[in-house]
Amino acid sequence: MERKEILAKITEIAKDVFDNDEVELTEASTAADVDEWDSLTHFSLIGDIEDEFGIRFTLAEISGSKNVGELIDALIKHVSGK
Amino acid sequence: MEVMVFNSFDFFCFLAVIGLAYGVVKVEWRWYLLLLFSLAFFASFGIKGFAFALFTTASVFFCALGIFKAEESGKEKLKKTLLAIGILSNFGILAVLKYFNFFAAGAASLIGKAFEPLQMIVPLGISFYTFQMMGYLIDVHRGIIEPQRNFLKLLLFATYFPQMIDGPISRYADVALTLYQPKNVEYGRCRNALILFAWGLFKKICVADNIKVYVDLIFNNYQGYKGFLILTGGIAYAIYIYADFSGCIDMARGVSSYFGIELKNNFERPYFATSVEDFWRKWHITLSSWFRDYLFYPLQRTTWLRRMGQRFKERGNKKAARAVPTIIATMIVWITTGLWHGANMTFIVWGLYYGLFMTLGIIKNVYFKKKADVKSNKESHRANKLLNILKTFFVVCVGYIIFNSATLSDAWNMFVNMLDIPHFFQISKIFQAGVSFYKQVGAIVYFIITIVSTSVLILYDSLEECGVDVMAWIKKRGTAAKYILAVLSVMLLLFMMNRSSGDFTYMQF
Repeated sequence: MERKEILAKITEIAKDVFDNDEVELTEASTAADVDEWDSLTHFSLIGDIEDEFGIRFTLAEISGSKNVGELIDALIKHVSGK
Repeated sequence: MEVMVFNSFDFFCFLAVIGLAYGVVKVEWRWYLLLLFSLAFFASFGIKGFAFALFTTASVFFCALGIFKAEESGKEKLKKTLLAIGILSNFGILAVLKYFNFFAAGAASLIGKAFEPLQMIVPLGISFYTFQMMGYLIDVHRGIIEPQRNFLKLLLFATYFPQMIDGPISRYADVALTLYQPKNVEYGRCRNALILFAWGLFKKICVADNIKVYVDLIFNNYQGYKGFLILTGGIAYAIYIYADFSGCIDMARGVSSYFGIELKNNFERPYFATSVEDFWRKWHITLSSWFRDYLFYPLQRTTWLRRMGQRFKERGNKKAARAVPTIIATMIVWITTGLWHGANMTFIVWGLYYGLFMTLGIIKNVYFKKKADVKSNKESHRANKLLNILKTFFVVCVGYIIFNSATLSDAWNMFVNMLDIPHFFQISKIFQAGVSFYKQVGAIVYFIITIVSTSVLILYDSLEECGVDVMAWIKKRGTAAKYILAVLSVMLLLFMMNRSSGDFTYMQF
């Protein structure tokens, strides 16, 4: 799966979790860019991404990822390692 | 054994000796000097307690190395086992030393038997260094940091003396580089370190110690007071505990900064918080972030909470899927936070109190958050800010009544007295309490110093909150003005140091 496809999938999940169809994510997006993205919705987003891709992030990846791009890096690592 | 708290002349002598020695010792030997003085500082509080710190360091040292090797050889199970051994043995010690008597007495009273409390040594800073070392071990397990291979270096990280009284709880990744490669003594940094230390000392001996007189007056005689006066006890405690705790942290940061080792600030003007959640982002930051990263996040990720969320989702209840597991994790974190402060029901209930407010915040966030809330205009934001600050401060002050009461029944009785609406404002009693405070604080000069110092602290934080950099403003003044301020400050601090000064409250936690 290509990065663009992964980003599109994550954006779809984010729209659902944040309950906002206007959410548009880029690789540079951070929690600060999306009003609904707080500590509460963060774990829902991570959980839904994990379920969708059948992987499990480490806590270091969850708290260490500075933006969506870094989360995609971690995701690709897990998917290719499966 | 002499207790060498930061606000004692003994500690000043200790600082003078290490300060001088630090300047003359070779750079590569400086961390040994810091270790030596840290051990001496620890020993001044009792050598027996030191054995526990040594055990914690040794167990964490070997477990961390073991985890790293297990990671390299792909032994996932061994990694987990070593982490569990490190965590259980160290939290086990903490639990026995701090909580055994409390839980055993509770269990004994349940079965109707008498219980003789055991005499326990509670080593200096055990709650702080245990949490710090567990953070280190978990970070090694998570692969965030590599383990320290020099035992003495890890011992310095565990027992570094500036953070032994009240913390802050440091992260290895934040301090390791500077801790083992201390910088040269530089004039500018020394001056800033001294100002920070003096500011902390000012908070402690000019504000906290004096306000404590009023706090004790209300809390020890609450039976005689009603309504507003009880509330002023909570407000006074808020000022006291902030001045006491942040004062100690400023002193610790000042001392550490002299060595070029920057410790985290634990406070960000917490009483200007606009919500309870915001307050805990600004109060005792290193503890709340510890609980967030090492308890709340892992709890959120546990299989049982994730499954619970999934079950809600399968039933089409997306909101409950988000809210319920978070609320459960939040309540566990807050009961633990309460317990961290000590073995007393008041602390547990105080933790539950905040857990409840956090839960209300989660429910509001999940069920009642409207898009309009998110994109509220700036004008209404400004209008609401002051109200939200006052509301949050009120919640915090009420919490302090539970926190500082000796027993739950005292806290309950204080609330009953506070809510005696017909007698809410008893002018004569308010006047009487003011006179008692004036008499107990010692003399008119102390009374004036208390009022002026507290006003200075409030003004300082208010200006900083409004974006004014007070220190930068002072630095721009003329040399004469700065010297006058420095001389006056030193005279004031020396004058107040002559009074017998109290220990720091967070030392006992």
